[in-house]
Amino acid sequence: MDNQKVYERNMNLNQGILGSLRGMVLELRNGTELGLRLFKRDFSAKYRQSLFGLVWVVLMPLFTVSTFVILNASGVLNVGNTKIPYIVYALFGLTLWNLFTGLTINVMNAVSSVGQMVSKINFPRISLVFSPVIMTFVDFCIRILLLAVVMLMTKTVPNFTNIPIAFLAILPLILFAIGGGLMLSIVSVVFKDLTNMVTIAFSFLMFVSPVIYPTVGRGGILGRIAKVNPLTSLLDVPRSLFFFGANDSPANFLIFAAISLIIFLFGWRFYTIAIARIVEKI
Amino acid sequence: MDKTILKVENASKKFSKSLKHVMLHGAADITRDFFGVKTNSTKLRDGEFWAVDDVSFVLKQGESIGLIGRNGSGKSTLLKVINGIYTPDKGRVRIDGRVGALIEVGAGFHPMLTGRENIYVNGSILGLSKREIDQKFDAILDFSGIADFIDTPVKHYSSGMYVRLGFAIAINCVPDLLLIDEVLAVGDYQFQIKCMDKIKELQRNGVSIVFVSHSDSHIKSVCKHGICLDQSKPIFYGNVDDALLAYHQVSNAHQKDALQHYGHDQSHVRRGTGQARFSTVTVTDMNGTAIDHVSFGTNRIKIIGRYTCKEKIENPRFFAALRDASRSEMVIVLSATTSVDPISFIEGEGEIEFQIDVNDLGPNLYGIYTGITDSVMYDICYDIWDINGVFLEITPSDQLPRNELVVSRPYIIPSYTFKHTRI
Repeated sequence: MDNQKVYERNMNLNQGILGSLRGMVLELRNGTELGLRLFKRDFSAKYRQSLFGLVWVVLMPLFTVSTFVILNASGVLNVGNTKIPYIVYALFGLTLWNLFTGLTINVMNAVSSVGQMVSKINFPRISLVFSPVIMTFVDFCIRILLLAVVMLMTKTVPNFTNIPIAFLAILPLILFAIGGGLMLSIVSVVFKDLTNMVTIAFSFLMFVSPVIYPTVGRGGILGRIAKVNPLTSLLDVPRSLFFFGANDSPANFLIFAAISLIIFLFGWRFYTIAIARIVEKI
Repeated sequence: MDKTILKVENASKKFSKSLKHVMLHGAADITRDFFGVKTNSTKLRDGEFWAVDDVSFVLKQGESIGLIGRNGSGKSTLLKVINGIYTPDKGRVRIDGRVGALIEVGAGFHPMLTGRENIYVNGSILGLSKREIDQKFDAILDFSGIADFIDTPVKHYSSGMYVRLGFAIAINCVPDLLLIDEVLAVGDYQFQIKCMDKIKELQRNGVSIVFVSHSDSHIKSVCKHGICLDQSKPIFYGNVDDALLAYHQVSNAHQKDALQHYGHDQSHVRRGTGQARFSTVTVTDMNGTAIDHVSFGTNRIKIIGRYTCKEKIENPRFFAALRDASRSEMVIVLSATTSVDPISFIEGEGEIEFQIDVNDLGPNLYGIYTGITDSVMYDICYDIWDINGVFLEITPSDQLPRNELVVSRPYIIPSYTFKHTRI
């Protein structure tokens, strides 16, 4: 193991883009063991004292979806033609949405939730991101199981051949969320009110994105927002691939997928660079 | 054994004073770093100050150095620069070896998890692999002395057990360079001894140590060299005894300022009815020569006070006290106790003299405080005087304290004699 270290100013700025990317990957490798250990810690701590444990993960979207199913059935809400049973449509949307918001918010809190640890101990900082990401994926997997059960009950048949591609199509949404979360994690150390702001922003975004009802092809403000909202295709494309095997707007999707990748890399580099500065402020 | 483990070259670190500047400069720095623009960070910007200013030293394998200084002198910041938590703004830190840091004990402990689980969490944070922790598990458990409770969630631990476990993990990491920041202050006496023994054992095995502590005896027993920092700057680097001496000198100088500043508040300085007042109070050696310091181990000093009475006062009582700046250590002597004959009256002018055994007082700077009261002390105060500008400094010497415990008492009544003369 290489134990020689030199600390001096501008020490990370001499490597160029590829060099710094290599440094980031190297840190990720060094931090994996600790990252997984912290995940294990958080996971066992979370479910040790909770009576129903993972049941809560299922109940939450179930209640939300039920509300909208009732609203839809009683004609208060007009969701339009979803081609698949509405409950399946909404549950799929909400599962992706929870993955997106869960990743953003949990990653955002990664640094501020550990408090003094970062300013007292030198460890690979990227390790802090493992636990929130994996915890969110655990929830996601359980909710996918819930979706499968509901689909069985409603006899909804997905497009089996395209399921792997549909899951691959979720990747931009994931990268977008983690990249955004990484950037916000630094800012939230200094601005404590960021969590509230993001929560409010998400509850607004949910209603202008195709989560529990389609937004594309609608008139008025909603339709106009749907055209510029990157989440429109990031949510719609995986859903239509999953259920119909078709893809409504590949061009749009690819553009936003590329933007997501850029946001992810940008967020990652920002996190790596900024955390060294931000520990001085904790 | 002469491999250089740590080389600190002109290391400096600057901080911002106000939140506004923290935000402004922080945002500018992060943006610059992000785009790879090199910072010219050697100059202070608006609202910045050097928290560590131009520190250099070299540490070879098996050597130990003590960082000494008052609170806020930059010791902990320097330690974090060495540990790579803070990036130096000037200069450079080179390390050749594995670094272990006892800066925060029990970091990452989760209250819901058992001690056993937390050993793995904390060990990983400190950079150990699972295999290494497996190997050291028994040693950690043994050192912590809490084996019976290892499967209890740590939220049920007492603070002492918590610290013991955290310390046991950290100290068993066996690095090449160990950074210790005052963590020994926690834990009971027995455990402190155990820790010091362990630190010395590591030392014998060739571990280099950078040690921050306020305890002279801990520093001396671990380190051969010392750096004394004052107001972010190194003012002495060399032999540990001389470094401690430099520390006591600046520390006393600052305390003198504090005492003098305290004295400017006139309501504190002097109160009383004024029927009798001290005109002068001096501290002298046994020959009557005025002094402002004695070396530790000196037996007796005199406090001589002259007073003037406006009218005759029956059964007066005199007292004198020596107090350090924190008011935590205090010596008080009285003119009327079972062992001293009371004065029946005073009139006109006179002189009092206390001969005080100061052997019980540790090295420190003491302010002088005198008073004339009635025989029931503090019922009527004629004059209570916190004398501005008169000090007695007890300087450190080779002499060991007779009794370590005296400092923890609220006040000490030493052996003394009292003499009164009417003029």
